[in-house]
Amino acid sequence: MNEREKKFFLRIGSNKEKQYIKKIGTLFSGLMVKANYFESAHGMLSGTFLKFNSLLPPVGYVIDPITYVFGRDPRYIKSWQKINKDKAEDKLRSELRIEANEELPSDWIREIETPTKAQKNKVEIYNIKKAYQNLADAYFSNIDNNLLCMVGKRPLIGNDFNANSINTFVKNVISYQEQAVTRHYDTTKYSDFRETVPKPSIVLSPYFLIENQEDLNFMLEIWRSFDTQYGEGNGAIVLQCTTNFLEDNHNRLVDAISNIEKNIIFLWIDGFYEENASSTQLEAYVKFVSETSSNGKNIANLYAGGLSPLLFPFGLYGIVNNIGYGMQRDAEPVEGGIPTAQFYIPTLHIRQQVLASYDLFIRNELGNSNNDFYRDICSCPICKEGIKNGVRDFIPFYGQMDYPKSKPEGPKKYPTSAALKRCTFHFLFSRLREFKWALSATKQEVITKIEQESNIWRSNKDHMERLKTILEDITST
Amino acid sequence: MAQAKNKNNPSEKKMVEAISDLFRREGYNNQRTESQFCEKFIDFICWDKKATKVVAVEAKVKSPAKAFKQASMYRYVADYVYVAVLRNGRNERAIELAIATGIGLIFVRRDTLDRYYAKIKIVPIKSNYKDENLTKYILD
Repeated sequence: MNEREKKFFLRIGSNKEKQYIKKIGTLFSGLMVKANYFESAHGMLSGTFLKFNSLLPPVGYVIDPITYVFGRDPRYIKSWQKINKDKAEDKLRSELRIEANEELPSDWIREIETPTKAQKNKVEIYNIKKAYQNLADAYFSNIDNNLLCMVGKRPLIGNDFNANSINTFVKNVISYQEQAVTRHYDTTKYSDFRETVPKPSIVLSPYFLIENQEDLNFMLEIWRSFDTQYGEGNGAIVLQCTTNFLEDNHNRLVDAISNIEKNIIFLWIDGFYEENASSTQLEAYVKFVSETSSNGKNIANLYAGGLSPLLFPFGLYGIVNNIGYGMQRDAEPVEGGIPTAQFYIPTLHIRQQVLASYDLFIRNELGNSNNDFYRDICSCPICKEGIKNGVRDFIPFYGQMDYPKSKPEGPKKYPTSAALKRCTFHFLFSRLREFKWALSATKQEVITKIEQESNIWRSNKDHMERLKTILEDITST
Repeated sequence: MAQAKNKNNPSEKKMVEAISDLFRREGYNNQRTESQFCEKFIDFICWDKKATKVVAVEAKVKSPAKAFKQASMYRYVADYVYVAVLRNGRNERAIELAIATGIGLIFVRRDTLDRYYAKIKIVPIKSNYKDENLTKYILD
């Protein structure tokens, strides 16, 4: 594979992130969005995709169908929604497809704890979120074995599907991705224009989390169906598995992937955090990438951690990063909460809170002057703008906080939008630099780089040393 | 059983009240609780008239190791940093950590039925890492 074809996708997760896309989105290989977010912001996203696709060279887009959510605990796709008392039961029954003779769980309707005047006649219902409802309709509505009726009540499992329903489901998921943006322009107003609406640059297979052999068998059926039904060269399968499964079934997974026709594989290892992974876990990931790549497969990490760009010379095909929040994530989502400012430390390949980063710099005696900071920590344009006196500028610049406008008297300060922006641009610039460097690096150059970076740090570098040992082993065999 | 346990363990709030009394006796009349330092909250911070001496305390009912880890970050804004723990028969770990880190140790024990008393057990080493700008940033 030509190194120039390697990919770095940027995942957009909220409307606020549009500012980053507008400024530096063109520097990435493509944009990615999760289907639930696409459903809630399809106007803005369709416009953005259209604009980016009209550039020369075009910057494509990918819609992650996130089908796995329907295989997880339904609480992740449900929320408490306020509604008039008299409509509550009907709405729940209709949207969760609960028959009249079926009992409605009593704890799915509750009184509002402190209702406002306007909420006097309202209650809360535990309903499926609209975006997931739309996805469930798109993926399951024309499948006859009641899959749609189970959504929001219990997780779907492989046994809920048969050969026919797998084929229809796979077809629906392909069709959803292909038509998501087109559908937005599917009105008379845009009739002359519809043909020019871009298709996604990559179409992903449906996927569910693989925790055991049974799950793998189910996913093999899905992947085979995807191979048959989507013959285009831009089809990619998604492999989502637990860290343990990858570690324990390495050869089986390499064989399974090698027997799939599609050459692009998006990998998501649940519970895998590169900087905290044990040597054997990290080795399982690196060897999987390296061995499948030797078999002609292109592995892209759907939630790439700090170390992943170093694997490009070892066969990694692509990485995807969020603009905000953590780089890696679990299949079971955590509550979002209020964003904290996080700083990506390029020479340590980890991203952490500002005070924890500052603590690391001091303990390692780094960044005493601005030049020391640029040499040992980062010299991106954002750091050069704000770090004029070494590490002492770090907290006021990247950790700037203030009381929110709504509560100017406190009690809690939050990162200012300027600080969040600085952290984000610094992260994106740093990752782009890592990506570009790794494109032309040799295996030996990567090992040397890790060694040089490790030498900067006295402590907290175990993850780098673990990776270096693994890469040296691979290179020598 | 759980009730009895709670009865013997004051909340961190009660501990901070006792710590406040301790430093008032030492002449530190400028005091603040829950001072935000980036993403962390310093349980108790106090300073002398000109803010030339700043003291920060992390109070923990449980997990002394966590408390020392968190308190180590307060050395960037305070001259003297302490961890406050409840005095009981299981304080060896806290004493070891205080000696190893140079962070001071305060014992809090019940004085009367609903009053707690704080006493310095180990005096901290003065911080070499205090950055006046960061201190100002916290105290302003």
